[in-house]
Amino acid sequence: MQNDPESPFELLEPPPGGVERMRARFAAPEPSRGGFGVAVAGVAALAVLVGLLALVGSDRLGRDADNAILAAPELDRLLGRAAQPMPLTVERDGQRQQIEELPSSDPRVRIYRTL
Amino acid sequence: MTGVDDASWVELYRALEKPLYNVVYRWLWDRMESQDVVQEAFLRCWRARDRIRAEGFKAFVFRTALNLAANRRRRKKLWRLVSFDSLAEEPPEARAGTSVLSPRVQRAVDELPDRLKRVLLLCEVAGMSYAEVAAVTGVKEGTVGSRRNRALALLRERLQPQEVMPDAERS
Repeated sequence: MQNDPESPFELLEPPPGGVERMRARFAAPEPSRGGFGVAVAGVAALAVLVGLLALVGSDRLGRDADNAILAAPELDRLLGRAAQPMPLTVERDGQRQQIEELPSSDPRVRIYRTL
Repeated sequence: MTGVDDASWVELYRALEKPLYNVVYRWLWDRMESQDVVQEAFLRCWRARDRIRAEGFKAFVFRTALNLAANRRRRKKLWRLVSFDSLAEEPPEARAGTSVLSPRVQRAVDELPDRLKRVLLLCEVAGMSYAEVAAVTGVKEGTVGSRRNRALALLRERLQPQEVMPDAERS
């Protein structure tokens, strides 16, 4: 089709086959919303899990100084270890308080009272 | 736009492809890329069909297409800056037998400020009313009119036939 190339508002014909391509794109499966984000989060979670399992399974755990961080009590629950008793200090107005541990029915919960 | 089946969407596309394509083409100057942007805009509308009202559809699809085109154009400019390369032009064989505008017209349209160009193309190329253009661009109808007049004046100025200077005056 011939047109006037000097007219800025000349209506040009789109490339042929647009309607067919559009029909095919409508028919293609719709991508799930947030699919990419879910995939990235899944891969990241998997990588963390594999890393932790590799570290837990390692016989260097507890012997190697490099793995000292794994012995941190904060990771007890995450790694399924029995929690170790932690020294507890309580201060009030800058004064150290004496405390007494009370019995607890839940092994994950410790109860203290100040004396 | 619920209750509209895919066949109707294809019909909508058939009806709006040409005006949309012509607006987007004057942003990208690439035929296939322009058609791709128009289709992408339609797909986005289709995916958002539950949230679009039928009366607002035309404005939505034009706004989406214009935003997509502007983003692509920015990326191309950035790439040209990084690669010290000119914008990729379509190979001549891709344009054979098709209609394109002269480089002089392209340059004149390109040099318009974006906000004026949007209004001008929507009015003159897509044939939209001031009210429709206002819905697409988010400005008042009065502003649409003044921007259109300003854009037309600029374009006329730039497309005036250049006077040929005699050889003696050139040196």
